[in-house]
Amino acid sequence: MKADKPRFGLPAIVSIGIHLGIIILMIMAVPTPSYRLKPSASENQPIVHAAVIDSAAINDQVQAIQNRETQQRAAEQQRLRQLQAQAEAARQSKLVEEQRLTQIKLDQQKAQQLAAEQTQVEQQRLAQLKVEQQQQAQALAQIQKQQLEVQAKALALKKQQEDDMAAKALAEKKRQEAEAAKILAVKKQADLAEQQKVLQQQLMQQQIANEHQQLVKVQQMQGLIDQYRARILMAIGKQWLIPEGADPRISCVFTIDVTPAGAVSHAQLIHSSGNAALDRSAETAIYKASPLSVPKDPSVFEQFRHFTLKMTPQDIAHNS
Amino acid sequence: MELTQGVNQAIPIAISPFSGAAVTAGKDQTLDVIIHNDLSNSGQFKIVSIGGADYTLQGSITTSGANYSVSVQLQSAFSSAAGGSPILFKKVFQVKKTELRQLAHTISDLVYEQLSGVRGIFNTKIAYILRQWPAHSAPVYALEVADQDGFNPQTLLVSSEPVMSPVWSPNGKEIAYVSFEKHRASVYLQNVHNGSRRLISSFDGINGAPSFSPDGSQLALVLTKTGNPKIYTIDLASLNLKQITEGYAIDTEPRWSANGRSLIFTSDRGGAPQIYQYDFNNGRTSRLTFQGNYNARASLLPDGRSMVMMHRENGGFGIAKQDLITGQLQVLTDAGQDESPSLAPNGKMVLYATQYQGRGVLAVVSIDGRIKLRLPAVAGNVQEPAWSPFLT
Repeated sequence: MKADKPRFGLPAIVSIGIHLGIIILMIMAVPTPSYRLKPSASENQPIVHAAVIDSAAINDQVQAIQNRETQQRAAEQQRLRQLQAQAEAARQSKLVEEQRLTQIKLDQQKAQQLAAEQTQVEQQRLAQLKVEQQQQAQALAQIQKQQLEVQAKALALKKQQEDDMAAKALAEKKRQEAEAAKILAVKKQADLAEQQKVLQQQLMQQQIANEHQQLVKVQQMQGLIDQYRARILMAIGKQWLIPEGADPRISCVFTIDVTPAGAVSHAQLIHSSGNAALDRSAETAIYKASPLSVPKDPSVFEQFRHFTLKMTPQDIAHNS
Repeated sequence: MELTQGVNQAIPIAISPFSGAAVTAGKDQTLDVIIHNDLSNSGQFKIVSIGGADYTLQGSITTSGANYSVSVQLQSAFSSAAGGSPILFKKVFQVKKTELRQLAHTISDLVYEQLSGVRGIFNTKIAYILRQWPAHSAPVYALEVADQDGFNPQTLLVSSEPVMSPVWSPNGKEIAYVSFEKHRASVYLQNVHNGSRRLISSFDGINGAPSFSPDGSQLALVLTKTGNPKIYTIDLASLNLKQITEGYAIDTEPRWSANGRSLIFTSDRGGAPQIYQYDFNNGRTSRLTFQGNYNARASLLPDGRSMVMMHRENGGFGIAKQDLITGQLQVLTDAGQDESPSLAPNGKMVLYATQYQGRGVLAVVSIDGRIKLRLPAVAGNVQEPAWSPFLT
C-alpha cells in the first residue's frame, strides 16, 4: 500500500520555486520612474539700447547746426523711427516673450499634468501589481491549502479504508456469528414446532372426541328440551279456557319462573293482548298447569327455570 | 315458546254462600244463588266447588236498619309462590232491600266482565207477549216486561185483542209494538216507566213489525199501502213516511244494522222466505241467505259480522247464526218450534220462543250454541220475546 502513496514532495517544491522566480522577475522588470524637468528659457531675455545726444554744438555750426539740426531732425526722425521701430521691435519681442512664457507655462502645466498622469498610471499599476501579488499569494495559499487538503484527504481516505476494512471484517464476523445463531434458532424452532404439532394433533383429536360427545349430548339435550317444551305447552293449553269471542290475532306474553320441582313460582305478564280477560285466562292456565313437567337433569332444567311464553287464542278445541 | 291452542270451555268458578246476614231477594233466593243462576245461565261459567274452581267469589252482608252493606271479592284459585292468590276485585255496596236483586245481577256483571272480557247483561230486561186463557172466557193478551232471568214480570199492556212484535227503543225507555185493539193493527210507542203511549201508525191494512233506528229517531215498519206488505220508515217526530222496498213480494220483519246504514228484512221475492239486505246509501237490495228453505226474523249482532234468524232446513224451525263474511251458517237450536230470536245487547245470548209441554215458553241459547236453558215458566203462553238494550 505504501507504494501507492503519491510523491507530492518534489513537484511541490519545484512548483513553488518557479512561481517565486516569476514573481521576482516581474517585480524587477518594472522601470524606476524619473521625473526631471527640462531647463527653462528665461535666461535669454532681450536687451534694449538707448541713444545719447551731444548738446555742445556750435552756432556756426548753426547752419551746420541747422543743417545738422535738419540733419539731426531727420536723424531724430530717423532715430525716432528707429526708436519706434525698436520700440515696436521691443514690443514685438516682449509679445513674443510673453507668448514664449505662456507657452512655457503651458508646457510646464502640460508636463505637470503628464507627470500627474504618469504618477496616477504608475500608482494604478502598482495597485494592480499589489492586487496581482495578493492574488498570487492567495493562489499560492490556495494551492498549498489544496495540497494540504489533498494530503489530509488522502490520509483520511486511507484511514477510512483501513477503518472500513476493519468494520467489514467485524461485520463479516458478526454476520457469520448471526448466521450460525440463526441456523441454530431455526433448527430449535423447527424442533419446537414439531413438538407443538404433535401436541396439537393430540389435542385436536381429544377435542374432536369431546365435541362429538358434546354434540351427542347437546342433541340429546335438545331432544329432551323439545320434549319438555311440548309437554309444557300441552299442559298449559289444556288449561287455557279461552274467553268466548277472543280475537285470534291478539296474543299476550308471560315470563314464567319455575322451581326445579316444576312449580310455577311466578308468571309475569310482560305484554298484554289488550283484552284483560284473555290475559287473565292465560295467567290462570299457567298457574293451573303447575306443577309443570320439567327435566330432572339440572343442566337441562336450566332451560326451563325462566322462560317466555307467548299465548295466542288461535285454535280452540271444543271440550265437552 | 308459543302456545296457540286453548279450549272452549265454561270457566269453573266457585260461589261461596255469602256470610253474615241471611237475606233473600225475591223467590227466596239468596244473593249467591241469583249470581249462581246468572253466571250458569250465561253459558260462560260452570259453578263448581272450591276444589275444582279457577276463581272463587266470596261475599258478606251486614245490615244496618233498612240498609244493606254487601262486600264481594273475586279471587284467583291459583297463586304464585311470591304473590299469593291474586284478588281480581273487591267491592263494597250499600243498598236497600228492594235493590238487593239488582245488586246480585250487578255482581254477576262484574264477574262476567272480569273473566270474559265482555259486558254483562244480567241487569237488562226482556219484553214478551203473554197469552192467557182465563176459565170460560176469551183469551187475554198482555205485553210484559221482566228481568232478563224472567223474574219480576210487570204488565205494560193488557188487551183482549192480539198484541205482537214488541221492540225496545235504543235508550230502553220505550217499547214499540203492534196492537189489534179496535180490530185493526196499529203501531204504538209506550213508555216503560209511566205507561204512557203514542199511536205511531194506523194505516189501512197491516201496520206491523216495528224496529227502531239505532239513534231512536225512526221506526222501520211494514205497511200494505200499495197492496203487498212493504218496508217503510217513519220519522217519530214528524211521522213522515218513506217507502223503502217495492214490488209484489211480501217484505217484512225489518231490522236496522247497528251503524244505521242498512236494513235486513224477510222477503219471499225468491219464492220462499229469505233474508235480504237493503243499503240506504245506494238503494240496492241483496240476498243474504241461501241455505235452508225458510229463513226469517233476522237480526244483526252488535259487530255487524253475523246475524241470527229463524231457520228451517228440513222439517222443524230452529235458531241459526250466519257469518255474513264467510256465509257459514251454524244452527244454534233445532227443537222444531223455535222462533222469534232476540239478541242480548252484548251479542252473547239469544232469547227465543219455543214450545215446552204444549205451551209457549222462553229459552236462551248462548251465541256459540253451547248452552240452552228455558226461562222460568209462567202461567200461559209466552211468545215474541224482545231483549232490552243495556239499561245502566
